Amino acid sequence: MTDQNWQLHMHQIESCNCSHGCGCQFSGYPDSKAGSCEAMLGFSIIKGHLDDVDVSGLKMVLATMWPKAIHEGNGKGVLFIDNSATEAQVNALATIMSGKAGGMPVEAIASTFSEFDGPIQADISMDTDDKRPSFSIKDVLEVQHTPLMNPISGEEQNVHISYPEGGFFWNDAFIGTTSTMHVNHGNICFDHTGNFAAKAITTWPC
Amino acid sequence: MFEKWDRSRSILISSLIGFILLSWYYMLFVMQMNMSPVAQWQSLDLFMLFVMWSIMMAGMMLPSATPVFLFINKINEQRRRDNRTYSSSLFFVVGYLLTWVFYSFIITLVQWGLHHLTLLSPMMKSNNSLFTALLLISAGLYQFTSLKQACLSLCQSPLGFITSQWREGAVGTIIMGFKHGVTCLGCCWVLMSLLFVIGVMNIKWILVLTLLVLIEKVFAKGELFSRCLGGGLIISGGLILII
Repeated sequence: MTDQNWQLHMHQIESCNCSHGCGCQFSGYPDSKAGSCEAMLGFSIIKGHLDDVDVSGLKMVLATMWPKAIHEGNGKGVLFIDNSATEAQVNALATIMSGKAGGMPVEAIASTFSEFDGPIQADISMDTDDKRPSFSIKDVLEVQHTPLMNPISGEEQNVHISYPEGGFFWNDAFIGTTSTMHVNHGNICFDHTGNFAAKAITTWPC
Repeated sequence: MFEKWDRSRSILISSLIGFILLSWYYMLFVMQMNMSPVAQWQSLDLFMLFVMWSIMMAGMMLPSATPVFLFINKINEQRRRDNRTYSSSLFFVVGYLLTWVFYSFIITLVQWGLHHLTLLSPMMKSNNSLFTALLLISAGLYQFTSLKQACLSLCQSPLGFITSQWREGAVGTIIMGFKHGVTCLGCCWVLMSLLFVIGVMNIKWILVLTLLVLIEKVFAKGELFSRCLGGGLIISGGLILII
C-alpha cells in the first residue's frame, strides 16, 4: 500500500438487502434473494483530511445498487455530502470517494460503478448511536437500524462481527437489522427492511 | 461502451482467450506422453509430464479466474485514466499461473511416485480400485472441510482480498496474483488429483473438471454446488468399494 494523502476516521452506518451476515463482507456473493447488492452507507467523519483540507465533522451518504456481486461491476451510485461543507471540502470528499486519490477500499469499490451521480449537497441528519444508528435526507432517503432481538425472550442481542486481521470495510461492527431503509433518487430506488445492518468505526484507507 | 472496451481490457481478454485456446489445442492435439513403464522413463519424460500438467492447469483454471482478472484490470484502468501509477493486469495473471506451475511440479512428482507404486497404469490411470475409491472419498470429504469452503469463498470474490492485500508495481501485482492463486489452489487441488482416477490425459474428464470448477466459482450458489459434488464423490467412491 502506498502512502495516501488522505485519511478518514469515521462512524460508518451500513445496511443492504442481504440477509443477516452480508455475503459480501465475507468475500463471497451477496446473499440477497435477487442476488443483487443494494446498499446505503452513512458516514460521519470523526477526523479526516485530503492533503491540507480538513473534512472532520462532516457527514456523507452513499447509496448504491449492483445487479450482481459487487466485483462483477455495472454498479450505480450517488454520493450526498453535508450542506455545511465548503466547496473545497466537497471536492476533497468527492476526490476520495471516487477513488481518484487511491487507497482501499474506495478504489476497488469506485471501479465497479458504471453510473455515478453527485456529489449532491443536502441536509443530512445522522445519529451515530452504536445500537440504533440512523440517517436521513428529507424526501430522498431514510435508514434506521435496530438491534437484533432474541426471538424467545425478546431481549436485545449484542451481536458483533469482527475481523481481527482487517475486514473488507471495517474490523469490528455492531450487527443489527433495519426497521426502515429506503431511497428514491432518480435511478437509485429501493426499499428494504429487516435485512443486514452494521455500525462500525472505521479508518480508511484500510 | 468505450470504457467497457478500453485497450488494456481488450489486451487482457485476447491474451486470456489466446492462452486458453492454445492450452486446449495442446491438450486436444499435441499432448502425448511416454506410455512405457516408468522404469524406462528418462528425465526428459518427467520434464514433459511437468510441462503437460502446467499447460493442463492453465487451460482448466484460467476460465474461472477471469472475473477476478477483469476486476484487477478495472482498478488499474481507472488509475491509468486518473494519471496515477498502475500495473498491467497481465502481471496478476502471471502470478496466478505461477501457483499452478508450482502445483504441477508437485503433482508430477506425486504421479511419478504413484507409477513406482504401480497404483497408476502406464496409461496414467488408476489400476487399483481401492486407491480409486479412497481418492474419490477423500476428494468428496475435502469438499466439506472449512479450509475448502474458506478458500472457495476467497476465490469466488476478490473484494476482501483486494482491499486488504493490494500491492503496487509489477512485482507486487505478481505477488497478489500468486496469493489469489493459492486460495484457488486450496479450493481445487484435490479435485485436480481426480485425474488419476479417470486418466491424466482424458480430455473429456479434463473438460468436465473445468466446468465443475467454473460452476463452483462463478455462480452464486457455488458453495452449495461444491457440497453436492462432495456428496456425489463420496457415494461413487463408496460404490466402488462395495462392488
